[in-house]
Amino acid sequence: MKLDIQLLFVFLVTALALLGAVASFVLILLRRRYGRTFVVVSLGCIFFVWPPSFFATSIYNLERSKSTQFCASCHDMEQHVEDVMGATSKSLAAKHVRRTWINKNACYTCHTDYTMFGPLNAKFKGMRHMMAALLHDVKEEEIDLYHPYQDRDCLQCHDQARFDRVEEHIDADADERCIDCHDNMHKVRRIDE
Amino acid sequence: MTVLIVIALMSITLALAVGVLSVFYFSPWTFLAQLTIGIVGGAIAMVCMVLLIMRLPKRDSTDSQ
Repeated sequence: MKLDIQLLFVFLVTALALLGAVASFVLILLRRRYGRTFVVVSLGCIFFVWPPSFFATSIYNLERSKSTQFCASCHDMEQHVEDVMGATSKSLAAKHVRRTWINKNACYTCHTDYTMFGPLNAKFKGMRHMMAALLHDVKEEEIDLYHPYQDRDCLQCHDQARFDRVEEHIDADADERCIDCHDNMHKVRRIDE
Repeated sequence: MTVLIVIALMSITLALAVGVLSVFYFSPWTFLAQLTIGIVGGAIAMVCMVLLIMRLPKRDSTDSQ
């Protein structure tokens, strides 16, 4: 496991809170008398040490949940991730990863709405997906996008200057979308059918 | 009072322990457990602590004289 500053911070805050909670618990068992100092220490442990620890752990875990490995940990997404990481796959997603156009968090980078609350929405949707994967038997046919893939998500990286260099783009109709032509997104069984 | 403090500290300890587990063994299960037990455990502890504060004996005003 990679040891980084974030992990160290989360570990230290959580360990401190845990130590405080256990120490208070032992104190109760040893002497069943409540001086004001004891009550203040207990309250401090719960009100001032626990919230930072909880938020630090949650934010650290939310950050880690963006990783492609985390998406692959659900059985339902195995096909998609295998395609993206495949050395010989010819899908658009695999090419993006293989040519290092996307260096990390491959799933998250393409499947997040780049709007004001996009990252927040993505996290809520991710929670729902995680609940569904853990509590229900999700069938492969049920996995689909909420709405057709939007051009603005492509244009986050493919800027206007490079976009206009391609002749077909200039001649394209206004209502045409990126995926109308670039339709080989993922090479998985269900999409192929 | 003992019951309130024990419940509060046990729920906090459980929430923090699951947090530590999720940091070192990260999976959808531990992540979900960290969030749910963290929120529920924290809420229980907060309620217990508020009840505890309400039940603390008031300081006698004659003490300071």
